[in-house]
Amino acid sequence: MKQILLLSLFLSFLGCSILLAQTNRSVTGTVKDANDGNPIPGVIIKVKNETRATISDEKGRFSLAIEDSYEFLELSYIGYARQQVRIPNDLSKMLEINLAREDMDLVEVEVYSTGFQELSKERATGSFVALDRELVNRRVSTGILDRLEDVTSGLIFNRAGSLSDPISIRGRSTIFANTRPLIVIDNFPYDGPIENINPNDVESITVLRDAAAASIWGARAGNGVIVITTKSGSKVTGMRASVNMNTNIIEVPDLFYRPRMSASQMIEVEDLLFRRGSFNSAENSPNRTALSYGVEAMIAQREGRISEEEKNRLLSDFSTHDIRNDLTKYFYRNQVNKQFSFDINGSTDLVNYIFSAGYDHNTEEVTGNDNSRLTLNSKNTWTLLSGKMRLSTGMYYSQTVRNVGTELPNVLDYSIYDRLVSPSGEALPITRTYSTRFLETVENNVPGMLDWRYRPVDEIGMLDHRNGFNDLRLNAGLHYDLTKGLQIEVLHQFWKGNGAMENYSPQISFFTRDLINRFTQMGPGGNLTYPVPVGSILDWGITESQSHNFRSQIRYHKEIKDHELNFLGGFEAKDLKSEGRNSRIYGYRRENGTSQFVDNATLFRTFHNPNMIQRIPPGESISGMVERYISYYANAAYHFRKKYGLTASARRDASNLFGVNTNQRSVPLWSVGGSWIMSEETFLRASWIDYLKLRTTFGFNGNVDRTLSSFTTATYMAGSINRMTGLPFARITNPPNPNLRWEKIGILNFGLDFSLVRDRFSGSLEFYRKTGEDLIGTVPMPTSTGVVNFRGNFADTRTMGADLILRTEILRTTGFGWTSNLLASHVYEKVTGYETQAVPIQVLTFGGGTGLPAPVQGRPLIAIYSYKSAGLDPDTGMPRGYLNGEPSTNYPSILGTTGIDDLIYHGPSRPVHFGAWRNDFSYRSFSLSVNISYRLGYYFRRESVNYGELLAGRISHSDYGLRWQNPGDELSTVIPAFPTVPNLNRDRFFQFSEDLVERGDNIRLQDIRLGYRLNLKKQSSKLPSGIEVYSYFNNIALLWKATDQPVDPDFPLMRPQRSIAFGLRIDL
Amino acid sequence: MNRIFKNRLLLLLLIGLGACDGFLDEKPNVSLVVPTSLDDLQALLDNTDQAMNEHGQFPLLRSDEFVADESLVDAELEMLRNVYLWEPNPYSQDDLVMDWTRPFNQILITNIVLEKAGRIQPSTSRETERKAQLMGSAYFFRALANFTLAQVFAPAFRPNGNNNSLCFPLRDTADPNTSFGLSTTAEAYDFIITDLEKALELLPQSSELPTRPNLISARALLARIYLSMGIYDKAGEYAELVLAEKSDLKDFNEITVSGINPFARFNKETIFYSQFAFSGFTFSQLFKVSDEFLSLYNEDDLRLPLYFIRRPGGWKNFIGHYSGSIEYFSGITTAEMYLIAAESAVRNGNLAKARNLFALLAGKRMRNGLVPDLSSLSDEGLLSEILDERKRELFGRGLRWSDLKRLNLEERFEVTFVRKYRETTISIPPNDSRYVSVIPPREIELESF
Repeated sequence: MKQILLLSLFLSFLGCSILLAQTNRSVTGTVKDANDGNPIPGVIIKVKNETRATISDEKGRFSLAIEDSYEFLELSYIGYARQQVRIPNDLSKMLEINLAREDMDLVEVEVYSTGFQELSKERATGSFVALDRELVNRRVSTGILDRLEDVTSGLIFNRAGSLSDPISIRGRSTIFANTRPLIVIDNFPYDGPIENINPNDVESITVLRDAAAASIWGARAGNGVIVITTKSGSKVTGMRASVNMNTNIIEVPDLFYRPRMSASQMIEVEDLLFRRGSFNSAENSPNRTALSYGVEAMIAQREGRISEEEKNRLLSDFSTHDIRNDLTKYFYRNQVNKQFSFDINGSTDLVNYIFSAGYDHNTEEVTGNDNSRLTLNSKNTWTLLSGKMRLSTGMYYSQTVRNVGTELPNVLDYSIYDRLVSPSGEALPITRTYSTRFLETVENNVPGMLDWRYRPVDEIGMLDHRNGFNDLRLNAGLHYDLTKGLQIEVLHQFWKGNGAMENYSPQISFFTRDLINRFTQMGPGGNLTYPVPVGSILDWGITESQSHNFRSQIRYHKEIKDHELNFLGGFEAKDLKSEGRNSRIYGYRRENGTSQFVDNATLFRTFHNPNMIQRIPPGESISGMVERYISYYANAAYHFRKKYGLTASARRDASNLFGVNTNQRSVPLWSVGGSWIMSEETFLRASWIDYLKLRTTFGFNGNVDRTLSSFTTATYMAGSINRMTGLPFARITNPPNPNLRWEKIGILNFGLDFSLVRDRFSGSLEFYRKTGEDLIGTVPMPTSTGVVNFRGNFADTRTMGADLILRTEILRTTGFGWTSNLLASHVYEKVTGYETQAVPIQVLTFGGGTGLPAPVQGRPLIAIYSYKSAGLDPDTGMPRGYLNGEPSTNYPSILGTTGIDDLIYHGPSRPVHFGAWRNDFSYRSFSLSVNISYRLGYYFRRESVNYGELLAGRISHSDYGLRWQNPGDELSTVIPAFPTVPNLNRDRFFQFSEDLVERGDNIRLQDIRLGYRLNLKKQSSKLPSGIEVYSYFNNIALLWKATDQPVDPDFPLMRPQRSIAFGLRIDL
Repeated sequence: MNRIFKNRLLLLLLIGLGACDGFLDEKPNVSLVVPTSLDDLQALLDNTDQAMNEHGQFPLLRSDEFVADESLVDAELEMLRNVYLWEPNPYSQDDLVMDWTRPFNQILITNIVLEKAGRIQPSTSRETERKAQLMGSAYFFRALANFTLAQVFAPAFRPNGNNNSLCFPLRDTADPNTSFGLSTTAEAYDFIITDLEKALELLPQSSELPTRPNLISARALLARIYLSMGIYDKAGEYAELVLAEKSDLKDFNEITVSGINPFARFNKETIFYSQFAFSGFTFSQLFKVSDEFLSLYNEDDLRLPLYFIRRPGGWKNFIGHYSGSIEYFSGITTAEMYLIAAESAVRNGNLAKARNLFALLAGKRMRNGLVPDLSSLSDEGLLSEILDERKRELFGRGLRWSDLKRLNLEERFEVTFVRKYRETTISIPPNDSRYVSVIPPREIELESF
């Protein structure tokens, strides 16, 4: 009602001005919907920078008196994008203006959500990136975080380095502490697995990148914050419904992508090793170590069990086979992800509501395994006491289930030429755990034993492993206007996550048969007893987690003439608890629910190696975790004439950190910022400048390493781990560190927001500097102290970077639109201080993603280094390094004398430049969006042959075929000759030599989205309604890479799998 | 609603809820503790497998009891291969050498226990006893750890000579940031003996498990250490004190030969239990028993079929570990006490006592208790017979290494150690510098000793 009243007041005011104007000439025209061509009534047509205006009639027609000095008309209408039109010189012609619907355009939302409040773009001083519903829905995926990739400025999905930090926002801000950004859903940090969130329920995502944006989250904001806001009911009176469904098909993984030696090469090596006696140890092992069928054939021939010809026949048969073909055929399939969701939402005078339901079902790429997710949400906001009070409630429920029926055979278990199925279609056993000779002896001599062979194909779908998770979130919020401008809010969230695991391994599965056989005891008369009872095994476990989040805050808003003050302050508490229990049942019979006792205390002699004694694994464990926070925060903003803004925030966090003194449990953090909307200044008023804003912030975010403590701490371990005595015991987890402090990250940010030439060019450019202080680092300790590495606040880092967002409307004519969005980020990280020098081997391994972080002063934290190579020795084919400046093969001395400064530093192993260029085209009802992403300025170490592995009889990289074999080969290859004896130092030198370092730079065509939208005209409703059919292609192609090597620099082990999705969205 | 009520509501919401005492005192993880109680400290010492009761491989790799097959030597880790082949500098730059790291980790734990237990004020007599036992155990383990280090990184103790060479640091505080210089061999042994003497005053007569020290095992360890130092009167004295309390011997005639390790873990001969850590090298079947050692057993010796198994390839492997499993036992047994007492008795001139002790042990080891007649042997002959019996009885426990070092100091027992590998023969003269291992290079780099 209020809005309508305002509108009519406005219109009558406009009407007056029309009457007052001196009408000499007038411009006439029609306003139509750009999509369906229907006339739009009620559009406000105004002369730019003047007050003169009119509105269109039922047929979309208008007429407006103008003066010669007038240049532009501005058109605006709710639900449509504002448009500017130049007034033609020839006024005799009717203007035809097409207005584009707002939701069809990928415009950025103008509101940022910090999880505490919503900020308009004009008021913000900090660095925010907002993704609206359109952008969130652009991709087809089961998970929500995938939707951020390549559309969020400054955010990167890491490919190199450890998997503990899959996402970085403006680089990595820590070395050892938590590396993940904080994820906030509907005002509170989310404690459950992010997979439980259905992307279809998400309205918008805001990424907080600098101190002013994130400091309200204090000690957990160090890695940036991702704020997810779920959908609310529409604010327009009436009811709406929408349905979305899609199917995404992901191709079968390419097992041949990672280059391996061929079967014939492997047999050749096995033959060589066999003749050298390299398998003697394994052959005679008391543990009956498994050997490949090839080696077994060689043993059989040596022992005279088969003839030379027979052996050769077997070997040549083996060499024609590759198990990866069998695996692809029997174990893999296309992954098919189906998604269905619908919601009903709307509002009345009293309540604004939404109810949504979603169901996802994904058949996984391994036959027999699938997962599903059911989500149910409802959210209501009541407006009470004539608008003074708002009460909101939310209920979010999700249930995820993963079923595993098939265990993929571990690649280490089989040899490359094993066969899964015989030519007659019968499942064949592959080499696993025990030697064939031993198994044959058992089969021939001990009739009471269970079958001990492992036939992977028989096991497909045999297991019944279920993992379920029920996630419930209940929100309640009360907003009350105490007096004008003063609001009090109380918010509470209760979250409960219950996980249940049930792994049923039937007696016929290899896992169960193996365990029973292993513990089978043979009595003096040859009679067998079974300490692990003959029957199935059931492992089950539950985790119960729950959290309370409570927040009470006041908001104050005051405007006096040109001054505007906004204040927000409050208190927040959090209590998260989780408990877990696991147990195992032996001799389980599912059909009647019975089980049998086992003796977990006695040490039994194992059947395959009677000299070894073991306890039956109990499978029991108990865990418990409590996380608590108490925080106070305040945030204030002052604006003058809506042009100049100042913001400040402060927060103090305290947590139940373990083993620290009370005064170290908390950390105060703060930020300040300023902004200036330059385009409001008269001296910058130009027709080509629509909007120009300069802003800057500085402040501190924090990070917690909950594993550290300033006292000596110890962890209790269950007695089942203690093989010697079976007693529970404690292990030192943390030697004392009385000087421990919280990590602090200072961030300085400069930003410029712009919109130029009638919004044709818009976006932002930001520069930032992040300074990490007191970062937790590890220093190698002399082991005579009793510890190998020691953690403390050892490191300082500095990150410099820039983020550019540039949106260009290349074409916007009738029916045809072309918008380009360029995201370009630059980030350069540097360790500025580190108390001790890391050892070279740590520096070499960490850049490749393993081992402990090894910071080097003046260099990026994660970087690629190498040994200088002098090429292969022309006489022996051995890789050569440098010792005292001379080529040398004295590896222990090369490794021993090459310090960090002597290593070649190539560069960072994470991209310095990255971003994406997205082009969105629209033609009438069709839309096409193509995203090209790039990553530049980094290095990677490629995989090559590992002779140590090969000499131990394990298959290695196909570079084996390119190795040095004869003098002269060194001119064409860098792969060393095959040594006769394992030489760890030589392998290490080669693995880390400069010969294997490559540039990682690449550009890829990431994805394409194609849509067709049919609008359903509905006279009664102003809301858009329609049907959209869409298709989405992901991981399309690598367009360019700097390296000549066949590998994709970002995906060394498995090529990203292409996918095609089709979907339908209906809005009613 | 009046204004005052509103303001009170506001105050209540903002401040009232914040004042929750103890809210942040909850510990974040159930299994986490700041170890201060007697139970926690005991649990630290009960970390048997990967800390307190396990040692590195060095004494086994450098023993003449075993001969590794060439293919095993080829396949093994460079560090272990180098140790086995008596390389003077066997370790690479960044190698973590368990013979060095493990005892120092044990020392850290014992120092933590000593520091924390010292601050506990017992309130009951039971707690007083437990505190004494804990501190006694910590002294015992610290002494054992330093003795383990001395075996590898210090030269043999010269009872009448110079023991001034620098060997390793003697740490007596837990703080890893405190630095210690290298100590002399004399200081090291002095430290070890002092710790054990403190342990004697604190430890109870018995303990629940042989992995936990008690008065008897502390005396037994002293006997072993004094013997290795060549201080035979003390060695004999402590061994006899042990035997007065615990002299159980299993009669091997009661055991059936099955080709499987016949001994139970924690059997009645075990005074203190510890073992060597797992390694692919020493646990391999290609780590064979040397023929020279096998020839020491005559056919009536029941240890021959119970300790060893013949493999199809013709060689023998050692299976008679007192671990009851495949791990090499390194603890202390009653039989070792008989042998220490007997050897000390000969060296102290009491031949009758020596013969008697020898007969008591041999009677349980020989078929039908047939003990060889030693009455005709001179003291020299008796001593070498007892030393041979040491080799036979204490096979594969790492004690051979200690004996090699100790006996090389006596001209009559000097051994030139010979290793053969492919075409090369490595020959190590008695008292060679290689009887003392170099300190791992990583340590030198970080601690600059």
